This record gives sequence, structure tokens and C-alpha cells, in this order.
Amino acid sequence: MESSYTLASAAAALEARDVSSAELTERYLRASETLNPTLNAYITIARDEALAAAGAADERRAQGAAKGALDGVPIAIKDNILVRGMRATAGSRILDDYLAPYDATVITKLKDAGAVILGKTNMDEFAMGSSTEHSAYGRTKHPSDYDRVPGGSSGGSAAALAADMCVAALGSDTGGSIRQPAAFTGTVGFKPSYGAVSRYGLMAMASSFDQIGPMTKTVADARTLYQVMRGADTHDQTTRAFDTSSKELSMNGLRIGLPKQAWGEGADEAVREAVQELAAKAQRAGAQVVEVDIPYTQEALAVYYVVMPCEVSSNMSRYDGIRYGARAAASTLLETYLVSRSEGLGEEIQRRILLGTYALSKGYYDAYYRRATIVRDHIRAAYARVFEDVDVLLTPTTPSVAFRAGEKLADPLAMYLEDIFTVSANVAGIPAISLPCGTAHGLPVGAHLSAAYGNDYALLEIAEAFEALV
Amino acid sequence: MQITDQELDRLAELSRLQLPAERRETMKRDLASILSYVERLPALEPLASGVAPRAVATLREDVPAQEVGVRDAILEEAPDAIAAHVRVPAVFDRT
Repeated sequence: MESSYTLASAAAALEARDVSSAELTERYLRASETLNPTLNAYITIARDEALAAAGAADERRAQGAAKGALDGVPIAIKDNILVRGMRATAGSRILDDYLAPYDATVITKLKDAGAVILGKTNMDEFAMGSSTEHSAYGRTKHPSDYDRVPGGSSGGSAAALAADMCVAALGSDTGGSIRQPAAFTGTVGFKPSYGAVSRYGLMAMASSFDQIGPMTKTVADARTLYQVMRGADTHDQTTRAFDTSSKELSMNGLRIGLPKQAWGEGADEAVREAVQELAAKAQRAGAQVVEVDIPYTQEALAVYYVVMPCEVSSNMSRYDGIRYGARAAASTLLETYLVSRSEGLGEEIQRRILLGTYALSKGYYDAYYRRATIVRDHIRAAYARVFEDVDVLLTPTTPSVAFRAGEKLADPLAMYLEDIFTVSANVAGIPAISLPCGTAHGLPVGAHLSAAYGNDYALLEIAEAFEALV
Repeated sequence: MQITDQELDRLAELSRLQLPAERRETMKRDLASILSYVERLPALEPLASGVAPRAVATLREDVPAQEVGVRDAILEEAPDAIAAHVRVPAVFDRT
């Protein structure tokens, strides 16, 4: 038994019979159960289900019928992704005792590949937040510094991964919720192109932005998980198949763009230097590094904070205490809605619902929602254009390293500004990844790479080349 | 920009939310702050043609999906269910 595993090393160890899935799963369950009272990375640790799946994986392997790279490997799942029969809270009190009636498509795919599900990880409620402080189940602690946040909204997955409580994890990303916690915790977080991975069974936050993605220790692991999860799904009309061929890219001759809109100000000096150092290494390895201008991308955060709350206000209307979740005792139907929602939904959720309702309402729709969707189209077009000139864009993932718990809670806008570098990839639908590139002030720094819409495999190849330089 | 009490009441009614008195001022202030930030958005001309990602619509066969046990699982999760129905408070007020 090694002290730590990646997907690749776990697959190799299982195949070589150095370790069984039952042993590997037990090791990760114990780590999870030991560390969780402190870190609060998991909302649910599913010991029985995990060991049953591990046993089945060992059986298959003994019969010579092992399924591949994920067979028997323990993975953690963010609590807004449905696993049949398992509790799914999305970090909210309104779903406190909700058991998922079906598997998300990504879960079906993981189970078909033989993966072992360890449990469900903590998150900002309904994926709204950048610190996991907005969970109804308490905050998750940063494994390297308990006073700090692991980021959010996939903070539980990030912390579980960084503290080696799982081999890999799934997160979801709407404005940066995979990439920002990956940057804060020194792990890899990949957001696929919009439509690459099915959202069926992901509790919807903002349906034109949401994507499920892998959170892993290496880029190769991210690719392994992505390969299993991706694909067109008739249950999600926004999915399609993308080109999966290798582009055989290397650092030599790679065209790297540094968007001037991102490199102006707003990032901590030490964070900026760590990412600039990576750019310099790439250049020494033969890449061309150029400044690029991507018009309107400085408006991406504003576009996001109009369109996203609008979609949230619609998606959250299903949480009304009627068909599932907590129903408040009330004498009329209206009271049932008002009390169930007001008691069950947290403050950040209510804030975004009200914001979205405002921006969609009569008299304001044109000035806010319609205006924002037009700017969004211009941003998408600007990205498509810039990727004619460069292969990949590079920025810091976050403006700072992991901040202290409580530091950003007084002013919602201060929290929203944490997404400044990540959000444009969701606005444009393009694939993006954060990988660790050193430290600043003793804490991990993430480098953010993005590529043209649909170029997920190219981006992963490029990211692996960068990873080799760090 | 400011959110008035009247506007907050209208938004809460549309959203089926009820804000306790002590949280109203903070909510008005937060909403105003965020709306002020997003007001920076320029009024641009719509693009002549669409940009990716564009809807593709992967259709499936028009046959019923036989998912065994899902209905029972769904009813299990209903706060109040009788037989194959979810029980809800009266939709029409008879008073």
C-alpha cells in the first residue's frame, strides 16, 4: 500500500495485485472518517456502499473481467450530483433528508466503469459561493491552514482531494467552482466545454453555465475521468460529442496568449509572479508568449451576475416544499411556499433569487437580462477570434491565495470578485483548467489555462505540458 | 441606485420568499450594491449571427423509458403522499 495514490497509480497497483480495491477503499474510508470531524469535507461518507462496490470490483478482477482505469478506484462526489439511494443535500437545509431517486448520467458512467463512490462532499449551498462558507452543514477547512477556506463551491471535493481522503473527486463549475478551489488547495480542476458532460442528475444552478468536471491530483487523471464522463446524452439536450483526437501539441511552437484584460491589476503581486514564472518557463521551452486583447471580457463578471441570478431564480422555484425536500407546516398553499422556502433556503440563495427576479421583471428585463445576453454573445465571439491567433490563454486562476474564513462574508460583491479570472470561461462556454504552479505567502497558487470551444483534449494536452514545467 | 421597500416587497412576492424585518435593510443594500456593479454593462448591438455553443438537440426514440421503481422512489421523497399522489394544501381558497 502506498501512502498516496493518483488514479493512474491506483489503477496500476490494482492491476499488479499490489493492493485490492477493498484495501484501497478501506484506506480511503479510514482517512475520510478520521479527518472529516476536523475538515468537514464530506456531508455523507458511504462506507457500506463503497465497500460493496469495492468487493464487486475485486470479484470482477479475479474473474479477469476488470473494466479499465477506474475499476475499483475510490472517488468522492460533490453533493449536488445525484447518486441513487444516497443522500443529496446540495449543502442546503431544504434537502436535508432527500435521497436521490436516480443516478446522474456521470454517475451511471462512473459506476459502469467500476468506480467506487466514497461519499458526497460539502459545498456552498446549491453551488452559490466561493468559499464553502455558505453550506448549511458548516464550513470546510483548508487542509493546510484550518483558519482558511478551501474555496468554493466545490470546497469539500477540493479539501478531500488535497488531504488525500479520496483518489479523485467530481465537482461542478458555474463561475469557477471547480477551478478556484483547485487553485486554493494546490490541485487540478478542469471545467469542460459547455455541453461536453451531461448535466442530467446535476442539481441545476444556472443552466447555461453549469458543467460537471474532474478534480484530481494530476492532469492525466483529469483526462482519465473526463474521458469516462463526457459524451452526448439524450437526457440533456445541451450535450454534444466533441473531437477527441490528439493534437500532438508540445511546448515548442505553442502560442500562449496573456489577456491584457486579466493582467492589468486586481491580482496579488506574489500570485501574479508565480504565474508569470510559469509563462517564462514555457517561453524557455520554445513557446511563444504574446499579449492579447479580448474585447468586452472585462464585462464578463457583470454579465455573469445578471444572467446567472436570472437562471437561478428560475431553477430554485422547484424548491417549494411540495414534491421533495422540507415542507413547512402552513395553512395555505401560499404560506407553504413562503415558509418552506424562507426557512429552507439560505441567505445567499435568497439574495440571488431576488436579484434574478428583478433583472427579469417587467420594466427591467431589457436593461438587465437582454443587455447582458447580448454582451455575452460579443464575449463569445471575441474568444472565438482570439483563438485563431493563439492556442491557449494563461492567467492566474484567482486574485489571491486562500483567504481566511469570515474575511469575505460582510460584502457579497467582495466574494463575487473572487471569480474574476474564472467566470469568463463559463460565460463563453470554453474549456478551462487550473493547475498548481507554486506558492505565494506559503499557500498554493493556480495557473489558469483556457482554449477554444470544443478543444478540451487539446487543452488537456497543453496543460500536461505546462504541468511538466512546474 | 436604491431598492425601495415597495420594490423589495414585489420581488419577495414574485419569488415566494418572505424576509424577516431585521434582514430587509441589509438585503436592500446588497441588491443595490450588486445592481450598481452590473449597471456598467454597455448597450451593444445584437450580433448578426449566433456564436457557439449553439443548441444541437440530441433526440431520443419516442418510446417510454421503463425505469423500474423510480415512481416509488419519487413518492418516497414527497413530504406528504397518499398512494400514487403527492398531497398538497388546497389550491383554491374557499373562504
